[in-house]
Amino acid sequence: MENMSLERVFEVEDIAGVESAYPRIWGYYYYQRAGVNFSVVGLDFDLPSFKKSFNKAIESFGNVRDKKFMVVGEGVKRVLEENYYSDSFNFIKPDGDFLNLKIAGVFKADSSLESSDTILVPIEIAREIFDLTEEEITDIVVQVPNPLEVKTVAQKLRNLYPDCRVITKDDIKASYQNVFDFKSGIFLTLFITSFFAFFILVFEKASSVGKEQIKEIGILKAVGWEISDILKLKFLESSLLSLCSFIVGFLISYFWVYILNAPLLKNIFTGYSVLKPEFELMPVFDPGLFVTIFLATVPIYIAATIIPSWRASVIDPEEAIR
Amino acid sequence: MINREEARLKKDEGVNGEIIFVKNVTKIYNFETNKEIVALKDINLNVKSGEFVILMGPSGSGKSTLLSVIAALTKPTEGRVIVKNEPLSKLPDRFAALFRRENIGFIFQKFNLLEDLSVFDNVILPLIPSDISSKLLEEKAYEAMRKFSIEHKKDEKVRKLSGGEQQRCAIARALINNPNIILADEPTANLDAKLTADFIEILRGLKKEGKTIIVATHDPRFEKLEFIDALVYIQDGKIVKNSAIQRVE
Repeated sequence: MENMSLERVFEVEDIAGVESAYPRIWGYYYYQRAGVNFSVVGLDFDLPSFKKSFNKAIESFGNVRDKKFMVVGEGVKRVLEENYYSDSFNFIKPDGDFLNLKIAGVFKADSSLESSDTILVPIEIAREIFDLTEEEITDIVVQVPNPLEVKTVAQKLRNLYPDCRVITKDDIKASYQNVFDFKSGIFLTLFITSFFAFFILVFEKASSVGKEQIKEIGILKAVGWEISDILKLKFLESSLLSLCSFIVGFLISYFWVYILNAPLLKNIFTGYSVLKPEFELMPVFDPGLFVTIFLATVPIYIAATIIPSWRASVIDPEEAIR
Repeated sequence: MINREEARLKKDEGVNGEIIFVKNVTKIYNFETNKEIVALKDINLNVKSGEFVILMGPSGSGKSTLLSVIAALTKPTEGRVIVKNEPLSKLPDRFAALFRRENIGFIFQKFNLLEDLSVFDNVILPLIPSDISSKLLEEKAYEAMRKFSIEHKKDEKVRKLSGGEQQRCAIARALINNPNIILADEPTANLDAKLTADFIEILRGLKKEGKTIIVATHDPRFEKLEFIDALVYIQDGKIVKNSAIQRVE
């Protein structure tokens, strides 16, 4: 795909409904040593809409005058550190020259899923990295203050520049949502399968009583246990077992996801982007989900133990033992 | 003058000192189905307090069923069972269990121990539902295990024990509550001659303690025991002979 001319930015700014338009350069930089892709985004840091947030990101970095700096995602930072680049990185330009950029700041961890592989650089530096002329850009960021006009402006842009891909914020959200919905579907399938297996187990447990269990209950009755004593015992046994399983399961899943960073499972979500740098999953505890899973498992398991025990305990001890 | 214990014992007994009454008991398994099996037919049996009664008869004659009926492990189809003045055959399940726990020690043919539990855990089973302190429970368990020489195996899983050890464990469990009625169903069926002799010695000791004992067996060695009080022969669910042994005191 060909790059756009910078002139288009001014043309776009003239469209009715558009408040402002900014040039941007976006592209993948493949870091061969680590075998990962970085998303390099070049912006004009002096533009009013970016200035504040960039100043915040690079507040501890003094030397911004020569613009040889970058703001990186956590994943990029980690990959660079693993490869001995603690405070700067040498990009290899298309002509073979090195371009050394200092790390001026790191994005906050809470945005790591989106920003983990991102490197923000001044637009001039992005041009150097991708060997673009001063007149070339890859993207235009368009700001439309009235949300009701966004669709119309997007349509106008499509009509004016059929060679461009026009993406609104809602399109980006929807595309992310679609990807995650699809992948959530995989999880949902796994989740339903596990639940189904659990309910088959529970149903099997509730609907049949093993000979050994009947005999055990018969022996307890023969030595003087009342039905209520037996049910109390079974309640305690199943409560202890199901509660321990629930807590252990919860701790293991927490450990699996947030300490081990969800091996295998994470790849389903990252999909093709496994070439991108690793990112950390932020611990999240959802009390509603916790209670739902608890209610869907523990009381059901207890009931599935108590019901057959009750059935077995109303049998004559002699018959039960025999 | 009689003391309070004697008065209590008298209260539990019939006019002639009977502690167990079995009146016209019939037991039919699968009653009112086309698979009816008549196990007992119109059985009458009275056992006095402190007596040692042997139920003899071939396999399937109804000995075990009669013991089960006396212990309220099953209800008779017809007739009544009264033990220590309690109409056991009419008692609701709950009270029958309580009565069994306090008054009857049952030794099963195959011991019926919970094999995954230790000897100690098996022995204390009858006491667990009681409201006794864990200290007293432990004391009673050690006393019972000591009495039947199984204390050294207390932590051993029951499935790892020999036949004789399993039987001693079963006896300790049956007697931990110090019941005054002991029922034993084919207790020597799985034992060799030496262990059978040991078991007979245990019975002799229990008889001396004044326990009422009923043993169902087809082992002819029991017939010759000098300390038995009655020999009851059962065949096809009927008592065919009930011979009280007269002794010169």
